[in-house]
Amino acid sequence: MREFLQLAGILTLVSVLSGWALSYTYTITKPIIEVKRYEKKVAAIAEVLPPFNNQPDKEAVKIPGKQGEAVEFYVGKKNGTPTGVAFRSTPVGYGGKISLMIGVTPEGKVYGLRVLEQNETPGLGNKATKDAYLHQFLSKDLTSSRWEVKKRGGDFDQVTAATISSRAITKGIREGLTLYQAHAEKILKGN
Amino acid sequence: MEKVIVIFFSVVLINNFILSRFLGLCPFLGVSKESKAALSMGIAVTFVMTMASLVTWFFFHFFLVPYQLEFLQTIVFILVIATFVQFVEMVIAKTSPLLQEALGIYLPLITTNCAVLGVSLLNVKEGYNLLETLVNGFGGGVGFTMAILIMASIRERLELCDVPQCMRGFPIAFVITSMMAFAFFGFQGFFSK
Amino acid sequence: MKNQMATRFRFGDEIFKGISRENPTFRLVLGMCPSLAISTSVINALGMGVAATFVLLGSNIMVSLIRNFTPAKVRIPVFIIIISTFVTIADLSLEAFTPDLHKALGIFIPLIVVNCIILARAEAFASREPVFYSIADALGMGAGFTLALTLIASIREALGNGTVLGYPVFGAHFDPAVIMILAPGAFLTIGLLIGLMNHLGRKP
Repeated sequence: MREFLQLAGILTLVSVLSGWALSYTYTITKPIIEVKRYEKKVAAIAEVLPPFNNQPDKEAVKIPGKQGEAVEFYVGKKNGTPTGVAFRSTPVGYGGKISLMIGVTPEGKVYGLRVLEQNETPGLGNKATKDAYLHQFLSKDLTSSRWEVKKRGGDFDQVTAATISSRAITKGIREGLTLYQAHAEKILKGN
Repeated sequence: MEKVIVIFFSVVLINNFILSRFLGLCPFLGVSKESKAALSMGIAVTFVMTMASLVTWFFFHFFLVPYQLEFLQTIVFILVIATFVQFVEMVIAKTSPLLQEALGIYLPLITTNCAVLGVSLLNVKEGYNLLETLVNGFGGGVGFTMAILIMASIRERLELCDVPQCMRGFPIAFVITSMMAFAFFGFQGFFSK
Repeated sequence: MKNQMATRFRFGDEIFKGISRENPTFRLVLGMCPSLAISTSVINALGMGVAATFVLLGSNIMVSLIRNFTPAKVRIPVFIIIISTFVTIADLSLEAFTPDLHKALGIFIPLIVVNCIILARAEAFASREPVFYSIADALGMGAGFTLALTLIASIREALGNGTVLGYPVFGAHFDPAVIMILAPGAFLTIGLLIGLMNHLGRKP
């Protein structure tokens, strides 16, 4: 009985101390982590939009995407007039999901592109996620080009030996633009 | 349904826990010298990974999330896994001498193992539902078993070769694993269009 | 006076042991999982090494402090609770103060809990030795792990990406062997390195 109390006692003591230490650390770090996450999101949006002076992330319009998930459209406005819309697209590449932030003008032309997360092969597929490759998509919209890689009859270059990654990026932008065009009026009007 | 099949084949061939994710190396290196032992270890690992996935999923969704205690993930998971394996060991010891003989010694080795904790954490990270979690855990074990069996067959033959003194044991095992990883690399991009 | 000198000598020796004779990566072959996964770049390797050393220090100190009150039967659960507490603290701190490193290290931060090195040192050393030497052991093992990881990462980053710590080392015309950053390169590097260490450490 004595032994059992001793065992239980030390376990309880250690657990309580550990619980206290963890709660303390959590309460200190949680606000910092949240602030960092928010800043990162806002920075990604700002990078792909034309100049604005509102807070696009606070004026997000939610539209159901292809798989039913809600896609957030962040509208950038200058003095109340929409200057651009930013939204995320997540096509599946060679090494998994690619998270793409797309910025378009209100008419639906690509203004800015930023790859947030990707897992493509370094040196091969991930070349399709770099600015040098993404540059060719700027100022294009659904009507100006055939949205496929040249190898498959489209107008866009693909990275040599990384067709899958290139096609994923192309598809991701195309689908994003399509979704935007379908709901453009609702998005620009706001909630 | 399709997603589940993709998960299974991905974790066995493309994102193999050993050859691609570097998880579960200690038992892999330690028990791959002989085929029979390797198979037993593989089965034990598959069993623990599947059950651990199941148990940790429940704890996460019915305890950590409702009380917003996700930051306790690591500590709760490892305690749950350790307790669960301990419990299973006791049950096996009391009920089946056959199983005890086959798997007994391997179970304690698997408890504090990257693969088991790793698969539990990955299930949560990917947001899998219950079925997907089970398939991922089971598939992870299958992939591990496949890798360790191939390794054991190669190492058995290696016993007959003249390996340089400094490379014997771990070094040559790593080099062989490197070639296996290279071969499995060919499965990448399997599920892209 | 002699006692003081012996103590200081032993403290240094415990640290040195972790770096050389009992290097956790190359000699004891422990903690393989993060050694291979994280060594894709030197900065990641250093980050992981520091995080692991932090956990090792915390765990060794705590385990050593309570070593006389911990009954043998519950020591493993107690060690696990202590280690995972420090790991969670490290995880949260990294996420708050160095989010990029946190993202790069990914699930391998929580996996420090099952890093054989830490549990092995708690079991084999800290639970038997006084706090002073446990600190030395932790520093030594941590340093040894960090150095080993950095060595592997230097090779993999240099050959696979042409850089070290992000700075190009081979000039513009170097075409990196990308395979070194990927899984096969990891296994190959560590296999050859251990082989080399064995060869160098061989008694003539």
